[in-house]
Amino acid sequence: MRYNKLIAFFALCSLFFTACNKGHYDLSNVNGVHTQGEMLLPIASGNYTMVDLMERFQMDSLIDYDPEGNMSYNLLFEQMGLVEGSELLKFKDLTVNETHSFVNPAPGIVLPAPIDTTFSFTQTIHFESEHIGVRSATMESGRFQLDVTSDVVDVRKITVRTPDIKDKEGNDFYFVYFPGTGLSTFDLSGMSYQTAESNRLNLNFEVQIKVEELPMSDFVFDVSLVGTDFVIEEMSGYVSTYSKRNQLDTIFNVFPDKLSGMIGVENVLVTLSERNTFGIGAEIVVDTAQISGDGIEPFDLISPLPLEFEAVPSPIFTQVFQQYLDSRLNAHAGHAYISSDLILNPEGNQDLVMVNDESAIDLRVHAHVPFEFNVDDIHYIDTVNLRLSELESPEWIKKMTLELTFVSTIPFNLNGNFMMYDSEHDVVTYTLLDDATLIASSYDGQPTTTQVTIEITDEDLIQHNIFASDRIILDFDLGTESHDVVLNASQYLNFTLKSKVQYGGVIELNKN
Amino acid sequence: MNMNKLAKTIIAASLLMAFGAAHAQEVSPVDFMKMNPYQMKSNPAADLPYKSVISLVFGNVGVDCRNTGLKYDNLFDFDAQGRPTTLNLNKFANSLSENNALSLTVNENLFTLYRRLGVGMLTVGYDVRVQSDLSFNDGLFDLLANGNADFVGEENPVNVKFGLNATAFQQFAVGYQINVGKRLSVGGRAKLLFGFGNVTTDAFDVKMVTDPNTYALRMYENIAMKASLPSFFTIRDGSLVTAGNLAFSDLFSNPGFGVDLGAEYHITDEWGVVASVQDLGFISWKANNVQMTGQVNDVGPMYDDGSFLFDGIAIDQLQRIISDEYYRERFLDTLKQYFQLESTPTERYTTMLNTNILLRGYYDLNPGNRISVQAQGCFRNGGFRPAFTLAYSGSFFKMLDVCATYTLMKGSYANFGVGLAANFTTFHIYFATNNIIGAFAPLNSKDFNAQAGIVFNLRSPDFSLGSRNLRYTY
Repeated sequence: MRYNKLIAFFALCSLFFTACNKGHYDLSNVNGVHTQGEMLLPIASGNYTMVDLMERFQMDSLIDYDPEGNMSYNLLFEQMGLVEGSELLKFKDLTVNETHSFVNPAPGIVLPAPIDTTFSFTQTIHFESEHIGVRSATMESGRFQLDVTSDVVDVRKITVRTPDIKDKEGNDFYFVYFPGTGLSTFDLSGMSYQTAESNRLNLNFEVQIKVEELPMSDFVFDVSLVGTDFVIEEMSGYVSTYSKRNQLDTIFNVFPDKLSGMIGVENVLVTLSERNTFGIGAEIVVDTAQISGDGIEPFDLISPLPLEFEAVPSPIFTQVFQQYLDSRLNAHAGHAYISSDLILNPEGNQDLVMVNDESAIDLRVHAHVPFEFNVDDIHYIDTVNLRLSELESPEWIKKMTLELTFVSTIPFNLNGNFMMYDSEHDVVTYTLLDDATLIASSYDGQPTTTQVTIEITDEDLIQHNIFASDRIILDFDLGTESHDVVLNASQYLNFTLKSKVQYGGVIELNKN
Repeated sequence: MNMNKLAKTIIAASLLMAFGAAHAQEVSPVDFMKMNPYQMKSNPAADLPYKSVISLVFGNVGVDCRNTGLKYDNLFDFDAQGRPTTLNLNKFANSLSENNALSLTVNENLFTLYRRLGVGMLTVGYDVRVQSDLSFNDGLFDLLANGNADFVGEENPVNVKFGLNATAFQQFAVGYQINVGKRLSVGGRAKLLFGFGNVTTDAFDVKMVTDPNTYALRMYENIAMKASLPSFFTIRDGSLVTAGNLAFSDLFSNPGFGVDLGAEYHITDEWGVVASVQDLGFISWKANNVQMTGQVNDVGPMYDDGSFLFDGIAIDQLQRIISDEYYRERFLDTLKQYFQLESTPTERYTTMLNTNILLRGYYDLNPGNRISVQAQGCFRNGGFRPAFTLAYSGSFFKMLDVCATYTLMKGSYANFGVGLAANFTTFHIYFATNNIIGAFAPLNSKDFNAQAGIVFNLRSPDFSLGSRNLRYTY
């Protein structure tokens, strides 16, 4: 009886436990998480002064700001080294073969034993140069290769000395050569050269020979001297008249590559400067200084041409010409062509001057373009990598609203498109904005506010067009209508991008 | 006072408590089961019909759950067969109240010895107890499920509040119950406590304001928590990490003390009242204490006057976040720095036990059947949670002990409980729940309590079904 009650007790208790295991709590069919709602999110914002914008366009190094913040653009065309010292400070290579003979004082005598004796002689060398006569110099490089031979005696040792070349300690240069050892080259690098007569070098030879018999009437020595690679670092001497023609032919961008269109500019200050560090006068004749480009008539930066001027010796640039001009430029690219003739020491002055390998004559054409301009349909296009295709679960977005707000004191309008681009399939998947005005110009300095709302309610569009892209092509048009506008560092552009996203759906749970 | 009047007063007081502002806990049919030795847990003055009982490990295993927010039916969408198909965050978030609670109390009695001594009974017990209360509001889930579009403006922020108070401790109890005369019984237990771990939240408030014009998100954070953890937790570089193993000393590092007190008075042979207080005490947490605090950290440009302000990012940064996964991860790591909690060692602190008070009146229909009315309340997390219970208990054949209860709590009105016990010469086995409906749908129940166990009679019980119901005769 008691056991029956015990069994009954457990049977009742088991009711509770089995009740908890009914299928209602079977979670095996749960396949996802459902939710729907709406998020308001700020996405991006930015506050940019005109200085910031110039930095973003990598133009900051080309822009000048005056104390009032007025901006100007610097177009610079330089011809550095119209003529350079290194062109002149060279000697030609030389080869000297000369025979020296001495009368035998006692021919036919047979000596009891071999004896050594020494003969001395001097060899004068002339360095050839078309442009310079050197009285003193520091040698950057230069080598001599020497050989002295004799048909009748055994040359044991040759010593070469010269008072015209000093080593770094100021001693006369000398060189000892033992024939047959192969050490026949001596190097003049870093040595100083000084002579009373331009481009001359006197070498004193001492030739030691071994004499075993004296049958011949003369002692004959053949001197072979080869000089190469003579370059002077700095010299004192004279420079001959030297002429040269120069040309500069270059493509330049007024604005970054991504901009195209025409810009009308006014009051462009064009200056021409020269710098002559030769220590000797020069004459320069500029015969061409022309700007050309697509859509613009070629015009001269310098007028009238030819322009002839003297380049007086000076370590700094000296302005030799200036003028103002108005013009139109192609924002994308221009072509500059400048040519000139230069005559160094046109009068053939023989005065001693100092010239070194860094001496040069430079020419600089500088166009100082104030940012006072008007713009006709400037077009800006850029591509931004924005891999929306890598974002997960775009199917969750049911409706997307993007709200752009621009507050600007910049004096031009900006209209644009955002083209969603799928690079894998090379296709623009969708275009946002449709040339809407993003920035309204402020011609009176007062901030203008522009609000643009992009609302996309088509889920397929969001999922298969917008979120299929990996780049955004930014396609903007800038214009100043009929206004001539001035850019100033204090002008600014503020923007905010915020979004309202309605989302919903089921996140599939991974059954694995 | 007329005894009937006294009983009515008690019933009226109970009703008042039941319709109070908060919720109750741990109302169990065991409290009303006359043969069950563990009725002494709620009523230390109970006069048991045993000379000597003992239990080991399985004497009393009790679980008490309170769940006012995470309802199973509110979590899922169901198919025609009633099977869940999707987890519905909106349904769940919309079902939440402004304040929600998830509580779990586990009591495991590992040893009990009751031994009758003269006119009273000596009780000795050892329990391991875990009490945890998680409170949360609907803010976070509303935000996650529905977005922030409904929370725009300074006056309409998203408020996220959490509170966690959890304690695990051991309890060594020695008590004595004595019958004072023929009508009055009193009892008490002194309890030596040793805390094993505690987490207490003083503040966990996060507020997010969405600017109606710019949609800029501004967040405020105020988090203050204390914890006393076993020694294998340590702070390293400001973060809590585990290191090492549990040490024996961890079991006895945080002492505490508590008492249970009770009195039962038989007004007449049929009418009686019980009053008791349980778990009046504290634990002093001394070992390995840490304090975790969190305010928005000034670690970058998004810090703004004590708050985190996200008003959009630079366009270049946005491009990199979308297109460069590595950069995106670094950016998110940077954001986490603003909300990094700081953990520092802290001094000793004290937590109070969740004290229960109980007031019960009963009427014995006959020696085997009793009707009870009980008002119970628990002081918990600074609040008071009352409950009102009607109970029937009956004993049959000197062997079967049955009980049926109905408990009324705020927001929880369908708590029908049952208890079932069988008493044998050598042992007593029982099971009880305060919510039989909850047993069939426990994940939809706000309150669910279950207790079960087996105790052994060292000497045969001596029931007297004479003048008073199951009162031990001596």
